[in-house]
Parts: sequence; structure tokens; C-alpha cells
Amino acid sequence: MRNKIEDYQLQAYVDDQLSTEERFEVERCIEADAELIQRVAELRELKSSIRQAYGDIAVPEPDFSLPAAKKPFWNVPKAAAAALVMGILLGGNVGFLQHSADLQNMQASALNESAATDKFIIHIDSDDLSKQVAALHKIKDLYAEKGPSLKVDVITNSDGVRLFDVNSPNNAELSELLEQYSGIALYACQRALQRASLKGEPIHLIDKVKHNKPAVDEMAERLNSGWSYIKI
Amino acid sequence: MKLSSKVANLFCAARDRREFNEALKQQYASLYRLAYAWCHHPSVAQDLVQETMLKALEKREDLSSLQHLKAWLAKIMRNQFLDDMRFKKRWEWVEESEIDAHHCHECSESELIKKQRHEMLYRAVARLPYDQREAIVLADLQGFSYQEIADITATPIGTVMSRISRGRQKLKELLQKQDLHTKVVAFRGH
Repeated sequence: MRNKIEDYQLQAYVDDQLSTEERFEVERCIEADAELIQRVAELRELKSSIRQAYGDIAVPEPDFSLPAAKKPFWNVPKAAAAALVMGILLGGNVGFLQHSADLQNMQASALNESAATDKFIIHIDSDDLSKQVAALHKIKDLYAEKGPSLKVDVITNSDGVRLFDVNSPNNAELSELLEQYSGIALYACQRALQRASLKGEPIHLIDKVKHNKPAVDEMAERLNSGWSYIKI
Repeated sequence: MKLSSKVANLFCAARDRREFNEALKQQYASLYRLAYAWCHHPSVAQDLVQETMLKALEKREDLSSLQHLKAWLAKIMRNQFLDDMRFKKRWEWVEESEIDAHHCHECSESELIKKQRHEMLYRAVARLPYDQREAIVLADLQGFSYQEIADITATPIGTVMSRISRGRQKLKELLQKQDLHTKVVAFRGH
């Protein structure tokens, strides 16, 4: 009876991965074999130990908040506000507007659509110099294409924060861009900087770099507000 | 497109974004545990989760439904972890002796015994070959089906089954060795 059941079948039985028919077949064999009963009990215990041991891990508080989209109504541009008002007047789905949180999000979305064409996130997470150069060139190209009123937020995390180090080989080119275009803002992930310090490789940031939030929050805020996203 | 439809679409997009962010937040603890079980280092696990969240925000359009979020995030995190192992060699930072059982602060006898058991398990899991550790944790901690694990790890289902089977066998042997070692140490202590 024992050799009718392969080990992978027993594992699949314990993992509840068998069809009803296969399960009955395995159970029929197990019932008649004390060794198999013991083996199944061991596998179940092991499985349960893993769930319990890692389930008991103390999970640290997240150091990011993933902010939701929130914009006051009076900040909605005229075109978007008009679209909202007209939508309310013309549309049949007035019921959904009754929930204030939904309304707030809808207003933010209307704002997002109008903002998406002139606000860009450039995201860099690598210290690969060619990628950093590509990011700087992308910024130049965007300004050449869209004009000087453009807003570009350069958000870095992981090893990408090294772009903003005072000793970065791309420092001169970056400074030149900052002088030329007032719409460029620089953000370094707070956590990545802490990590670099802990490793004994602290980053000495150039001026104008904001670094009081994790990159994931900086990113979430802008994506919620409809910024266009470019990953380098 | 009629203005009313446009407004309705905007409404849906905003609601989707809000739901997506909320769903991401809800996955945080589960993702952290998975990351910890793969790397056994609290700080590396936190980084991994944050990088996964960033990737998820970047690629949110790729997710067809929030129902698939958990497996989708596991796949993103797995790719991130493998990239880290390949390019940054972060796994080298983690020595077995460093494995930090930060799961329990109570010190009653029963809690102490439980803590020791957990620590034995962490050490044994950390010593498994990565592919076996990954499959076992996805199955046992996260409760993914074999098919889901095959999708997450881009591996044939037969290979997943084989990794789980070999991994559990190895885990059993490692735990038996540690148990024996603990008993010898306890005996010498007397």
C-alpha cells in the first residue's frame, strides 16, 4: 500500500492542492498505513510551525504613509471645475456625488488631468552613471519640448540618491540645469540616506535636495495628483 | 466624449487610485513577513518592502484586478530581491548568527521555549537553498497555491512541487540536527 503514494502527492495533500478524487485516493491509502499517517502529521506540523514562527515576527511600523489624493475644491483649475459642474448638471449619475470623500477624489482627478501635461516625475534608483546622465538629458529634452514653465521633480531612492552627492561626477551638469530652470526640484529618499549612513557610506547632499520623506510617499503624492511618470 | 462621462471616468480613476493605495497599505505586514522569511534581516526586509511599494506604484496600470494584488506584489518583491542578490549582494550581509528573533518580548518560560523553537526554525529556513526557501515560504506562510507559486517564480509547476518536497526534507534534517545540538548543550549545562 505504501508504494502507491509518492512523496509529492503527500506534500500536495498537505498543501490542499489535490482534486477531490485525488484527495480521497490519498486518504484511502493513508488510513491503512501508520507510517504515512506519521509522515502527514510531521508535514502538517512543519507547515504550521513556519506559519506561526513568521506570523509572530514583530512587524515594524511602515516609514511611509502612501498618502491618498486630497485637493481642496477651490484649487481645481477653471476648466476642470467647469467639467465637474457640467458633469453634475448633465450627467445622470448624481448619486455618487453624495459622498464627500469621493467628491474630493474626483476633484483631485480633474485637477490631475489638467496637470498631467506639464508636471513630470523623473525617478532614478540606480547609481549607474549612464542612467544618471540619461536622466539629466531627459530633463533638458522635456524643457526643450514643453517650455520653461514645466515642473520636474527628480525623485531618487536606493543607490539613485548618489546623483545628489556633492562628489557626483554629474554634479556640474545638474547644477547648471538647476540654474537654468526654476521648475526643477530634487528629492532624495530619507530611508536610502539613512541606509547609506548605516553602511558607513554617508551621502553629502548638494543644496536644494529635500530629504524628509521616503521616496514612496513622494511618489504616491505626485501620482495621486496626476503627474506624469518617467523611470530612468 | 460627453462631459458627464468624462467626469464619471475621472471619478472612477480617483476611486481606483484610493483603493489601490489602501490595498497596498493592507498588504504591508504580509509583505514584510515574506521579505523577512526570505532574507532574515529586518532592515533589508524593510527596504525590500519599500522598493516593492515603489515598483507597485510605478506599474499599477499592469495590475488587472485588486484580487490579484497579493500575488502580483509577491512577484514584484521576488524580482526585486533577486536583483538585489545579483547586483548588490545584500544577502552577504546576513550571517546566521545575526538572525534576530524580534518576534517576542515576553519572557515567561513558555514564551521562552516558543522563542527558542522559532529561532531554530529561522536558522533552518535561512540555511535552505534560496529556491527551496522561496517556494516553502510562499506556500506555507503566504498560502499560495502551487500554480500561483509557479506564476510568481516563473517556474514550471513540477519544479515548484519538487522544490517544496526537497526543501521540507532538508528542513526536517536541519531541525533534527539543531534539536540534537540543543539537547547536548543543555546536558553539558547540567
